[in-house]
Amino acid sequence: MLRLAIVSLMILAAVFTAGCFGGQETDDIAYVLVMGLDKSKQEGKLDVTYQMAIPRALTGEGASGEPALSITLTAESTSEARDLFNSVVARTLNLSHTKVLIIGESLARQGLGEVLGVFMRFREFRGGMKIIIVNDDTAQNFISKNKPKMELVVSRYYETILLSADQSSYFPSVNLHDFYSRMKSGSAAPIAVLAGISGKDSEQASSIPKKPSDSVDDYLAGQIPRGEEETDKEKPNLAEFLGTAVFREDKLVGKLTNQETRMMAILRNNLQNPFFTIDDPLVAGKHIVLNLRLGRNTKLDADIHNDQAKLKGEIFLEGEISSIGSGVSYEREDYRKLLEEHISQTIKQDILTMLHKTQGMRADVVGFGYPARKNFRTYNEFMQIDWADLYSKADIDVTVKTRIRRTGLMWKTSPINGSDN
Amino acid sequence: MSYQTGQMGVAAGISLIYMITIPFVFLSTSAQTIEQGAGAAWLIPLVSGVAGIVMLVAMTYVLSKFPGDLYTVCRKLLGQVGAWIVALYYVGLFFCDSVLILRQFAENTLLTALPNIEFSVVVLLYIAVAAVVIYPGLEGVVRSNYIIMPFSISALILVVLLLIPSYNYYNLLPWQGTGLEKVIPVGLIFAGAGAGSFAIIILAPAFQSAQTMRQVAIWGLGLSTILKVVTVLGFSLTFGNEVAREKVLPFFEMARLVYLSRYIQHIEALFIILWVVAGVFALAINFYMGLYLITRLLNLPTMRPLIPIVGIFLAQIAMMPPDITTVLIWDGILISTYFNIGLYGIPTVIIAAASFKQKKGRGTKC
Repeated sequence: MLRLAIVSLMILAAVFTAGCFGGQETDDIAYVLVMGLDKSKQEGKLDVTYQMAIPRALTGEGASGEPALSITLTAESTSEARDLFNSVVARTLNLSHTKVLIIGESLARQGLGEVLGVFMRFREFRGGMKIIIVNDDTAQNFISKNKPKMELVVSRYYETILLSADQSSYFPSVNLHDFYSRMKSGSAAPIAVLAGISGKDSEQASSIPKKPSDSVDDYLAGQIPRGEEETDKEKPNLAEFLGTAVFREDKLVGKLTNQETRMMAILRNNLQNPFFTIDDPLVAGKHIVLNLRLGRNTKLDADIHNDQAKLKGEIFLEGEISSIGSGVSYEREDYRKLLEEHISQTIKQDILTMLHKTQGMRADVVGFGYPARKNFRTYNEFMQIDWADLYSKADIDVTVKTRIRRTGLMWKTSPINGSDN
Repeated sequence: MSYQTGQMGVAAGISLIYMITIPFVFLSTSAQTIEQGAGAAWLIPLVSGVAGIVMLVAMTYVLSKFPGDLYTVCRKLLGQVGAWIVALYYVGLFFCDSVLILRQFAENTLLTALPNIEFSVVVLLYIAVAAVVIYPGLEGVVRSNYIIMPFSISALILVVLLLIPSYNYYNLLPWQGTGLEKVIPVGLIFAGAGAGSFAIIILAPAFQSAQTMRQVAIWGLGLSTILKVVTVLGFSLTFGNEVAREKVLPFFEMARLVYLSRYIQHIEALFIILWVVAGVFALAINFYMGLYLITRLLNLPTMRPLIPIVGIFLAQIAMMPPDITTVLIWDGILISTYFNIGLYGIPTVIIAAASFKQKKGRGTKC
């Protein structure tokens, strides 16, 4: 009898406990893939934009219209916006699949400390969410104009493009965890991806002054020159990811261009295998294209003596020649050494220019503050210093060594028949 | 008598200590540890573990000279009243631990997996499952856990390894953390969290010999210490001092940060099962130990009638604190005070009494 009772109880338990409290069917839920935040025109409020997938539009049969829906609500907080959302859309909002947090420039300049609290505390958000700042624009505008052509699902588009950041190192891939950790650590300045819509400020494209060492132009997101037909808003995707948004504490204080971002990537060990275009050291007006990567991890060091910081960076690059515009035989050892020295000097100069720019912002984008901790016996001693201040006045010494390991599929350059070379 | 523990070897003993001490990894203790030690926080569980091993090994020497369980030894060395006081103290310790584990795991379930469930339902479900687990007796509990242990240890290490891309090794600097002069005493105080490992002394007759207990103490607490050190290191390297100390659920936060590619992410749901199992076993073993001591003290034939009554009593106490912050504060206070009496105070008195008795014995012979 007892056995029968136990078995019955177990069967009943299996029937009644095989579910979960608060479970919902997927067709009752609106999965937010992208979230945008802007400073509202109404004082003290936020414009919160939710971009959600429309599953029906993604299926083969009956697929029609836009694959994603965007809704913008104005509220005092993101949580209030979420509750208001419930009165706008029939489905329940779910944020556990939100991949990207996009923030408009004006809100970023005002400060994100207060806004980010909920993203770290509420269980549906993850530290892995990518964080993007819109260059001189609103998140709402960026989300509405960003229409990926090659990816159907918008979350996949963001994941793919941000995971490929190290390919060119023209923009960093930063998630919420990295941003928040840097904001709290006092050892590095928070950074974020800079994004923008092409054509909005096309006039600015040529306005960034070209440095003497530059072989190629510098751009910020939204400023890449495109063919005329490409500015037709119906055709290509106008969204661009280029450059870095630089923060001091929680406020946006400046931007790094694509080339400066690449220099930062070298120091942060995030350089995968991009192409570098540099001036030919022997023939003026000609360029050499190289495929460079880090031969070994960049070594960062920071010493502090008498309230003066001395920062060091040791960089070792190795690479492959992709193109020699002048036809000079840089494959030969004597020319190769000249080219290596030229590359090292050019990159060193670019890195120092980038670092001096960030010193002016009092924002240690590389994170020299982390190795600087070794100068202190205890954590409390380190926290008493103002690292941003020390960084802004620091002496910086960067050494760059370059080795050309390969010369592509050609081992020598023959002159063009009949040319002067 | 049904409360008889059965026979346990080294493996079962290690499983027992693992069950009692591993909630450290799944609750907020790692965050509190980092707040106390900063970059040197990993030293705190190491110092705690070594202190626990030293005290346990010292007690096994006493048991090798005075055979029996803790109660019998105390009766020989401290008299009947002393033995009762010591036994009642440990009843309090195990029930306190049960209440703290029950409340924290219930709160964590609401925070992470089932936010819409009624709090009291979670508490009652946990205590009911713990009651079912201990009903067949201790031997079954430790052996079941012994089967699960390799999986739970592997899963724990896997999370730490999957986070390597997120590590910032500079988070361990300055290497002295908040200062060794602070970190080492904190480690000694935090050792109280492992006072439950004295269960092997209470259950001494279940082990083959004092040598077996010594091996259990070293291997069991050693394994648990290594896992705690690895978890604190992984947590510290991933989050850094400033962010790590903000977290309520370090292990859950670690698991949900894993992102290797678009195909390997959102894996925390798998690990919720791991910490629920760990929580249930930890609760069950503390519940069992409290009941065992009561049964032993009152010389009852069986503990089974006590299981539902004491279970409801523990669930009621677990629901008393008004919020989770109060529970965490009480957890810290109890570990640093009450639990440390069980780890340092009582064993020191017993060891002193044993050596006094031995000297006295030698003196009489002369």
